[in-house]
Amino acid sequence: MNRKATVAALAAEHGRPQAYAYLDEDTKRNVRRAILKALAIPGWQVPFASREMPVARGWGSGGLQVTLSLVGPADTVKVIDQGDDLSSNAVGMRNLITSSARCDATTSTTEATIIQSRHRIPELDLRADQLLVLQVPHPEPLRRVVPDDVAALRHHADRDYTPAWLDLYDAEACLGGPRTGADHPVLVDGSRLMSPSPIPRYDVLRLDNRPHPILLGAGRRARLTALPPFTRVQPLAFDDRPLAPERADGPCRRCGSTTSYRVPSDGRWCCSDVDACRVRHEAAAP
Amino acid sequence: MTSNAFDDWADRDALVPPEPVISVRGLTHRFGAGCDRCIQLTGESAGTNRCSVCGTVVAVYDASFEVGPHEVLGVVGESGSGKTTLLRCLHLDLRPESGSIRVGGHPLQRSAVMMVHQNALAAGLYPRLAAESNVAERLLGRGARAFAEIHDRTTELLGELGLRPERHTDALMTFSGGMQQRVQLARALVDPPTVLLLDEPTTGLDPSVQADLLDVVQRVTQSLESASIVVSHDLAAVRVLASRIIVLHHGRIVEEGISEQVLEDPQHPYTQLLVSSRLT
Repeated sequence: MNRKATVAALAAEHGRPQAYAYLDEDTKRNVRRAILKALAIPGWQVPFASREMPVARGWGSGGLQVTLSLVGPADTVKVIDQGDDLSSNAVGMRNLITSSARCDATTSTTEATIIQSRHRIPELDLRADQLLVLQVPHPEPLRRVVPDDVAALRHHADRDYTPAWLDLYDAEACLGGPRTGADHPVLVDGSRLMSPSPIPRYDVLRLDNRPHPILLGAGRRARLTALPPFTRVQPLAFDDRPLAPERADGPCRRCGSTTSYRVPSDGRWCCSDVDACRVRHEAAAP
Repeated sequence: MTSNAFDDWADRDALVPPEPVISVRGLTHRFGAGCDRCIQLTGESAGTNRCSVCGTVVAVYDASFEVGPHEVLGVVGESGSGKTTLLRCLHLDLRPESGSIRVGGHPLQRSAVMMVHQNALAAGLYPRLAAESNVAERLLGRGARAFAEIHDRTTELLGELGLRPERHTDALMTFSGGMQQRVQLARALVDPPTVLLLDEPTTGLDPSVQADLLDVVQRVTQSLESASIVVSHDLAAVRVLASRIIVLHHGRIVEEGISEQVLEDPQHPYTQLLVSSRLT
């Protein structure tokens, strides 16, 4: 059997020829309605009927449902995991999307129309016609400071984010900086607190006024959040203590960049975003 | 021209008693469904505050008093006499069954009152956060967003209450009871309330810490424009802090007066028993 037609063929065998892109049409409509609602209220957590997926909940099932609800045969999909196209998680999900939606896949940021990502925002500038889907393990930004979900909802309804500010104050007073290595909460349009998914602070600072939409899917928690183009997104930070990005102690060993987000590798530093690093490396080559 | 007898008075207004900050009239609160005979079957004559017919506990009945600016009112009585219920009604934790509580002539608002609890950790403080952060919460809740300003203010307040700077960033759960009480007082001073309620401020503390804390509480209550109400078993503490005392027994106020007067020359038999049974 042709591998690219597996899911569609199975669906046809069971009398469900309409099942395109793994999910049935009702599920996709439900997810798309939630996405529209999330886009209408930027930064607000919108519940949706999260389905069982062929990945464990918390491993990208939310992002996968968002991508599969929106993807079409003309799309080109890129899936990255911590900036890398070739991690086993990224490869598995990319294969599922392309085989079930019969669309193209790419590792190039500029060629992709839909980019699904875990833990990173691509460093190359995205265009307005591109869509970024982020996988979110914990969509509730008050989760660490307000363990009770109902109390957290009340805080959101009142726009009272004192517990989050208090946590930040305590970290500043005791540690000299925020406790959050990643997933630093952001204020959307100056009023709604949102979890940006576990992206590094370097990426949190790049969320503001982006020209393309960002959709954040949390399958385990069955919540969707969205940032429409050109939304004001500011990290939670005191007026006199702005959020600082992570620092690397040396340039990238491949492209030599000193401004990218770099991670340690074999005692040296290299760019986390593999495609951006490749582009910079090729541009620098004679 | 006849001289007015009042001309010699330097300040006539000084003779007019100040308007009370808080005025409580006919405050009653019962725990239970209640029946028609609850009031008759409880109180001094019955020797209990539990109704023998329906089992309802008449925690406070017809309590009326006023507290003026800078004044500290002490509330004493045995366990179960209704002290804490009275305080919870004043803190709006309980809705009184009847009666009125007015602050500055208006119905009591939650923002006008602040309670320093006996158990600091049950008072909504965060045991895992630094003492400084617990005080800062009040400023953050009011919209302060400059770290340096908040830090300076909290450091100043905790310093005023005798907490050493090196302990300001320690987690509250590592503090002793007396120190936790000081943190609560520092929170109260961030935005001084119109009415400060102190629930058993010295209970569970050793005598040296008690004396130290009493000194702090006295300084705080004297510095505030507000009215303060102290509930305590400890008559010595109440004598130091309060200028007036009310004595509660079986949910009723049985005696009220100036502290010295009530403690030196008690009129009601229960107050006499209370004063005579004090350990010396």
